[in-house]
Amino acid sequence: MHKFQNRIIIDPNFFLSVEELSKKNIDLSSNFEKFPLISAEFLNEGNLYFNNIVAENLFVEKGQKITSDYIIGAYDESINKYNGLAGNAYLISHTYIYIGKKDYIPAIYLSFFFFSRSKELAVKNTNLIYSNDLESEARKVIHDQMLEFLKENSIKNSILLIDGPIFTGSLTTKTIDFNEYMVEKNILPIYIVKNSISNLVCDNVFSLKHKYNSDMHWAYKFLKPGQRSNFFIYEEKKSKRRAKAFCYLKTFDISPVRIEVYKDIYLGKQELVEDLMHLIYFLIIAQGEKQNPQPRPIIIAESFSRESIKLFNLNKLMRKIGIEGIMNQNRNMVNF
Amino acid sequence: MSWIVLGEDKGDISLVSSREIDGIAPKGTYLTIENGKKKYIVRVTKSFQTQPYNPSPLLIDMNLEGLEADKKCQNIIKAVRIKDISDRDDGLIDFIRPQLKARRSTVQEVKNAVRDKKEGIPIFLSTVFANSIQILKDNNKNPIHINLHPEIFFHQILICGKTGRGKTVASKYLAQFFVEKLKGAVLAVNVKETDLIKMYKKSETKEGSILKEWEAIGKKPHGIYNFQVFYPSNTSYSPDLDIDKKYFKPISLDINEIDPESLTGILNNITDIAALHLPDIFRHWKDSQTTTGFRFMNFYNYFSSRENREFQTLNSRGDEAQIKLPYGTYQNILRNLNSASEFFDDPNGEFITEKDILNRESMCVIDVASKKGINFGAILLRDLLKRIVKAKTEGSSDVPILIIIDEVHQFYKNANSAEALGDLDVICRTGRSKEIGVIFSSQNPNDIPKGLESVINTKIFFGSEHSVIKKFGFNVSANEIENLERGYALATIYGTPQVKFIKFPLSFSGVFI
Ligand SMILES: Nc1ncnc2c1ncn2[C@@H]1O[C@H](COP(=O)(O)OP(=O)(O)OP(=O)(O)O)[C@@H](O)[C@H]1O
Ligand SMILES: [Mg+2]
Repeated sequence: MHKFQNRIIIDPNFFLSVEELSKKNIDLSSNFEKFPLISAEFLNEGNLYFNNIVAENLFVEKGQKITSDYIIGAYDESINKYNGLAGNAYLISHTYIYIGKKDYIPAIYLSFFFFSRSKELAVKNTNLIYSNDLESEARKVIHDQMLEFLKENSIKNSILLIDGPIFTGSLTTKTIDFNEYMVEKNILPIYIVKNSISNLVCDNVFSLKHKYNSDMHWAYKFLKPGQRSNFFIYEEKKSKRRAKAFCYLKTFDISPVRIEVYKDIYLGKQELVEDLMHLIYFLIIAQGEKQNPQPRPIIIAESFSRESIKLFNLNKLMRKIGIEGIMNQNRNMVNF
Repeated sequence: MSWIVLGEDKGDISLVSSREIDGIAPKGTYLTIENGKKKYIVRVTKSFQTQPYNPSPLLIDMNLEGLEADKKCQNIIKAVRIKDISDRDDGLIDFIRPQLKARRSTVQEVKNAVRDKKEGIPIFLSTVFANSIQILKDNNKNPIHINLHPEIFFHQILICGKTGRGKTVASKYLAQFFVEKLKGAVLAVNVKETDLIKMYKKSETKEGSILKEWEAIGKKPHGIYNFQVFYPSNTSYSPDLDIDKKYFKPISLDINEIDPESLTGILNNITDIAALHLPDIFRHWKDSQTTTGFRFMNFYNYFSSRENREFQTLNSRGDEAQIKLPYGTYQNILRNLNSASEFFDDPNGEFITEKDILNRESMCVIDVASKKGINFGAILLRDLLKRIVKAKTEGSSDVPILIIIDEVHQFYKNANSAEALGDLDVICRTGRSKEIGVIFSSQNPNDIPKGLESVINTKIFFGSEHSVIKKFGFNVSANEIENLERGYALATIYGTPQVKFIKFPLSFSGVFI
């Protein structure tokens, strides 16, 4: 029986191009500054800390300058999923890019696996994973792959933009480890969340309670285009390490985005992180899609990811591996 | 430095530049696609840039620079397959697979692809891009030249183009090659100024680009060693022309020797069909002469004395007849005979024949640039062509000959039939077997006598009106053809269909810029 070789495609210039960049170092090793807590309110599940609720102006020029100061990388993934009779197949393209001198330089990891509730099938094939909860198990595997891929391939001393929230339902510990590992390599992961119905702010800030549908709704009303909110820190009661700092950032006159950073990174490098909000603002404008405010490098990573996944014909792959005939033809591209 | 094959699209190979390429490969560039030991040579037919990341217009609005990476450009190329270098022998042709890499072809590969003839006529390949034309270069910045097969001479050549674009210079270049490399004889008719009469002198230029071109083909300027200008003995050169007398010889026409048909050269501006009887009238008169050593004036007197305009004729097949010329025709001929008389029977001028022309490694120029010179040339040219054809047909000479006629229509006015073209038509049709070549040169291709168009296999257009060359089936834009710089031309070349835009090296002799 064949095995799909997961493969990594690395731009031939991946390492060379970094050397030409000669950018500033990001030193994340510094001692933690104290977060001046003025108001802390609490809820059942976690604590929210913040200083003042304020809107800060963002400046494109400032953001642009940062692009020439630091190496900026971004991650995104594409997933091709087939729902079959025998289980679900996934073809995933994890893509990391960084902004090179004259080009975006990608590294792409293509992986394939197949989930089945059939133990028998699973035993026969190395790409096959036995599971009862196919969907959530798949998410876990994908997330895990992403963390490993980024640990191995992100450029040292860089800023790393990631599409999606820092903590998802699963892999909390791994995510924390990941962030701490990145800190050691002086890589600063910043998460960008587009659509969210989270209510951490509105639920915890007394004056905002019951007034808004979600934090996004609040931020949209509160911020003008070109502004961000102050940073909030959120800590879960159960797991104090599951903690993040976040703010809302509004570029165009539509729903803002939420920017998340690992709490310790924020506390250690508050000034830097806050400066980087100008960068994100600039990168969203550089992308320039008013309907889809996303930092440009993430969009670029996404398109590399889409292109690379096209290289593989999942149907053919399935046949080759020997799970022919049990697939239905439903094919859809899912972006987690 | 490479381009990467994307695939085939409607018969063209599509390629995209890889990152290290920082520019557009102009149309006409030759690329070599490598596939292990096999190679495929393709020629770029379309080339443009794309910006894969399309920077946001918002930033431009805000007057911001944006990201350098977003300014990345790629060169997309469409190319046609010219030649495969492959040992495949099963009758199939290789796929050109996606992802294969291509690079600029080397000079040698281009030569291979276009069936370059070693020892042929060196010519530069060139290309038009964004309204500017340039010589193609290989990766080492060497101008790419190929060698055209000398066979093109014997399949007749047409050189056209607006004034001052390089027609005459190209003729000179080809002439010198013919003399020196083919060891042939060249007969050229000089119709304008000193165009062709100083080819005994080496060309002079300070232009760096020209010097470089000469260097690229390994040549230095030099005059033609065996060079001779014939000029009508009733004319003379002004001293400020600064000519070297030893290359110049006065000539005259000899009524005893001249072929009767050549007299049609006198009838240049007479459209009257009846005028075509002149050679037959002359033949009959000549035939009836009892003494030799008669003169042109004798014939003139005979002709002018026939006030009843009735003449005995004798055609070339020996049939006798009688005609009466219409009054106007008679008067016209009389006038032309009168004005031609000064070219005849001058003891200071020698009468030249094919023997003066058909000598190896030599070039003769008949200079008819003087007043009334065209009529003189028209007679002499006809006479010489007749003699050359005869000598070559009878085998009394095996010297290859190239005849260069500038402004051919001036010598063959109203010559729309093969008869009227006479030996010129014969020459063009038998060129290859007899090693006779003709270069016609003219500003407007429409000036070429109709009957000749079909026998001309190589056409070279220097800067020309688009409307004029369109009918020759070239697929070029008005911009491309009208703005061709001096020395650059669009061509269809016999035996080398792959070549389109070329640049002539400057002639090694007789050009002083
Ligand atoms: N191959 C060439 N390379 C560089 N310069 C050239 C070349 N050919 C011609 N030229 C330049 O152009 C000038 C005019 O060329 P040429 O006399 O051949 O024009 P032409 O086409 O014969 O014009 P006309 O119709 O007026 O006779 C030359 O004197 C020379 O300066
Ligand atoms: Mg000329």
